[in-house]
Amino acid sequence: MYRAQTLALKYFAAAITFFGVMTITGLLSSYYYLNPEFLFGILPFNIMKILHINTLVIWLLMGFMGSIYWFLPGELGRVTVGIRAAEVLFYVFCAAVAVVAVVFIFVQYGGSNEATLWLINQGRKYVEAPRWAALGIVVVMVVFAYNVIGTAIAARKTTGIITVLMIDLIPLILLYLIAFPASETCRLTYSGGGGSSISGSRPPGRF
Amino acid sequence: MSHLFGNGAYYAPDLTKAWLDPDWEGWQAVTGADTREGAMVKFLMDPEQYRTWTRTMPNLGITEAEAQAVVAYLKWMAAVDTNGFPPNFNQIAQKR
Repeated sequence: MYRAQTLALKYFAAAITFFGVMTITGLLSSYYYLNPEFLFGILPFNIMKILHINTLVIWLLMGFMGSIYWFLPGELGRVTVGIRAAEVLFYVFCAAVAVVAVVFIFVQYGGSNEATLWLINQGRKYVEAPRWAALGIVVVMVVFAYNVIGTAIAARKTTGIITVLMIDLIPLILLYLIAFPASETCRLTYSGGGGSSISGSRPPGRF
Repeated sequence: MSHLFGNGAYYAPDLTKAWLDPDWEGWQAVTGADTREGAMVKFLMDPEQYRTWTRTMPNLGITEAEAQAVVAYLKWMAAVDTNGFPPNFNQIAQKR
């Protein structure tokens, strides 16, 4: 068995684990509808929902990566380029997901400032993970793309599947970079106005 | 939890037109606030004290300035022409 295929099995195990977390948090989220007092003041519904949706994104991503690490050696007939980096990043990836989950569960909210967006929660539906984690996923995806493209170049061959995959990996790398607003107007511009700010018809900030 | 334009976490009510909710007049008396803005700020800063529904809003620990910013945002949100959305909101307003 190729080293990439051993790594694929690890990704499969991690994907199954996060699938389990997704299922449990999904069931618990539905239980809030039956018993609204459930975990009240400890873990609100929205945090449970974030865990449910974000582990869904992560297990899909890990399952996708694992399946590619599994068929890549067979498809290209050679060992995977940069497999050592991919093996290290697997553990970094798992640890980062765990840290994000722990911060969601135990910190939950931050103040209205940039530090919250970087360290706690971006508050954006489906991509709530803090910015450092978004950057981490980009690093994992860059190494993943290097594994696929580098192996194809080293093997001096490609297949239809690998070509489509290489093209699709480019938007996958860019996907998490939308965590960073392109223009100044998208930034958090709350200026901390005093009590008089709500008596006017215009809210604080730039509009 | 709550959501805007029908987009959000779907557990709490849609807040697109929350500023226009006639219930805030009653809440002014309950919270002892002089204005509708003041009642909303008091509610947002201590939602556990003003339980309205079986699903209680958690205390997010926001400051008064942040609560005022949220109210200002909801006022601006209510001014958006949503072509009758949310559909049940106008019916609720007419019934009262």
